[in-house]
Amino acid sequence: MSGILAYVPFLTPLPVWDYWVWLIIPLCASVSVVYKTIKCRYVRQIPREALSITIWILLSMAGVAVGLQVLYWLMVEWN
Amino acid sequence: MADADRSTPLPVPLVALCGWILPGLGYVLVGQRARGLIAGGAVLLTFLMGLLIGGVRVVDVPGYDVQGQPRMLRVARGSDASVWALRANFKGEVFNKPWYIAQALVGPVNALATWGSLRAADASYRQATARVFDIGTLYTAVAGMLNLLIIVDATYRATQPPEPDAEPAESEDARTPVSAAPSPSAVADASPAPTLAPNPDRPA
Repeated sequence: MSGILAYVPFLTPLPVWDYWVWLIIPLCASVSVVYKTIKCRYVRQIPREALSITIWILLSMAGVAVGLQVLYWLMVEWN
Repeated sequence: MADADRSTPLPVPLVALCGWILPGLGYVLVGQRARGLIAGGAVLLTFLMGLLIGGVRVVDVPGYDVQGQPRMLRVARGSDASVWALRANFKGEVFNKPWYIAQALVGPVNALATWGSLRAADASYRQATARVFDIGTLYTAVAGMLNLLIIVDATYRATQPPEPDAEPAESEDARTPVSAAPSPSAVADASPAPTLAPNPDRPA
């Protein structure tokens, strides 16, 4: 709580030490929006396409994370 | 500037320069205002989020140390004369902080952030540490890379014939499927039968 109170926008770092993983979501959304802005023929298509690709990126990264965690557990168990 | 009827294409370097000065302006110049607002807004928002997450000091300026002071190099061993590191070894200094190259692609907004970063360092605001610094740097650098993408796309579109930004409204004719279009014989059948015009000389 004291970290939030001491936060000065643009001058001090955001106190997100425990929640930093969630910062992947806005970054994925931003990359998706710009990518689909380039790819889509019509602007009207951009929101739906960007949302779709954002979800795909997040699910894929979560899948890779789960896979690596399983691999890690297996290696620890075998040793 | 919805110049769908633009006859002479804009110079590509001008579109690229404007896209660098203000993200999304390149699209606006080629007549795609909505696309420019969306892409430029996303780039600027990403950059600002990076500054909000890690503080303005995530813009780590080449040629300056952690305290925001110019890094000086001695001209020769034993000599008191020194020269600014960025001037003496420009390539080495910039490549030492390669993320600044990506951040610089955002344009003058990054120049403003650079100035702010040096001012904040003077005021003893320290750089963020560990993950928060990395995430802030990542956001700002990704914003610059995304701006490069939209600059390239806008310059490509500047060389192409103008294209509408929005989907064209469907007309009644466009909605009629090809298979349902009436055949010529059907058209002939449906046309009104010839009628005889009344003869004005003939008594009723």
